[in-house]
Amino acid sequence: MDNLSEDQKIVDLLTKLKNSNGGYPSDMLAARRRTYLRQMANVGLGIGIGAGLKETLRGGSNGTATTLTGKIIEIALVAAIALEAGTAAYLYREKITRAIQLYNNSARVQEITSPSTSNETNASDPSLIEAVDTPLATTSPTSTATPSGTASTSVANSNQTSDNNSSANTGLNANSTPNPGENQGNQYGLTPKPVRTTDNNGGGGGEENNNDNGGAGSGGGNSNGNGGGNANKP
Amino acid sequence: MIKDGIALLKAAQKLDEEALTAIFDEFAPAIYKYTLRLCHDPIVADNIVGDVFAQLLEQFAAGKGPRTNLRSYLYQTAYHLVVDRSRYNQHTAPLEIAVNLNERGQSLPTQTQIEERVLMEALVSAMNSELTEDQRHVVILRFLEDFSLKETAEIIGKDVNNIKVIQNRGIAKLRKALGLRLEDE
Repeated sequence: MDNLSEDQKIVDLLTKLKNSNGGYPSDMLAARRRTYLRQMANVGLGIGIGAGLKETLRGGSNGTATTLTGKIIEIALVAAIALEAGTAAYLYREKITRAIQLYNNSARVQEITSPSTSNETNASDPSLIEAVDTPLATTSPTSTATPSGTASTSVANSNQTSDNNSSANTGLNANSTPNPGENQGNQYGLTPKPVRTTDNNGGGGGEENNNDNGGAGSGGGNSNGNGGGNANKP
Repeated sequence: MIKDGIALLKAAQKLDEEALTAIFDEFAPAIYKYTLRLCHDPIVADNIVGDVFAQLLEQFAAGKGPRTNLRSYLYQTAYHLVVDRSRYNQHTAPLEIAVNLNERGQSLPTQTQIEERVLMEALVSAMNSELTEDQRHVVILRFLEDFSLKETAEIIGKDVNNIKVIQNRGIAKLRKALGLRLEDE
């Protein structure tokens, strides 16, 4: 009970304190009021500008002339954009064509190079070889031409001869070894496996090389026939 | 002159100059008094009053602002500004600025008035030194600004029950600080 009565006394004191504080000094209040009125005018001006902009964006009330002008400008802009697009397409038509071709051909290369197949399969499937025989096989610029004269077979030779003799591009081209001069790309797996006709009992000479002169000290290559390869051994 | 509170608020939301001026004239002195009690500096209190009404104008211009209780809204804004300032500026002015019991025209105070003045100064001193910041805010809003528990809770941003607890603890601290003087009386 004592606490409650004392609390009530505290509350009474606080209530008295409520009226004891000084008021707003008149000069400060007047200055603050002036500032407030100025801010109010600025805000009102901003609201006026905002409302005007909104009205303009809506189209306003004086409409027909503005609407007609707007439509004319819109049509002119669309025509200008279309003209510019056409001109750009005409000027860069070659680049566009190249880009489209590159896009289409690159998709075809991805289909072919994914599996690693055996040489026999490549040789027996002319459609695959024909597909790889396109210039797009040269996608990697660092690759070198693998086919050489040592790897050519009779089949390849016959195809090459037929290729040379015939001017028309027939289906026989499917088995031909690609010309490294034209296609510098990776020819892995496309060269037909050479077929051995005789047993190689000699010093590493190739059967396709007819230069069996006994090795005249020309550097010890295997292509020099019998005995030539061993001449430079220590 | 717009007298009704709701009508005043609606007119102010439409940026009616008369309504906005009436709001300033009605609430600026009270906000100043409240702010002065908290920060004890007339210039700071005046600046906070300016900030409170500038924010009110901005809110009205943005289509926001108070919808129902304008007084609570203004005190809430002032409360936040005072708290923000007190975090950066931890100084207090002399007590006589806050108490301001020296009324002009009373050259010879009576014995009762002198005792009351001493008691008031002790009360203000206890409020500044003994109470926590929350307790001081609650006591001022509840007993000096006559806000209800709900309104005080809205202004400070706490639960009503929490405000009750803070208030009781604040009163108990003041009672303890002024205990000896009350017993003497």
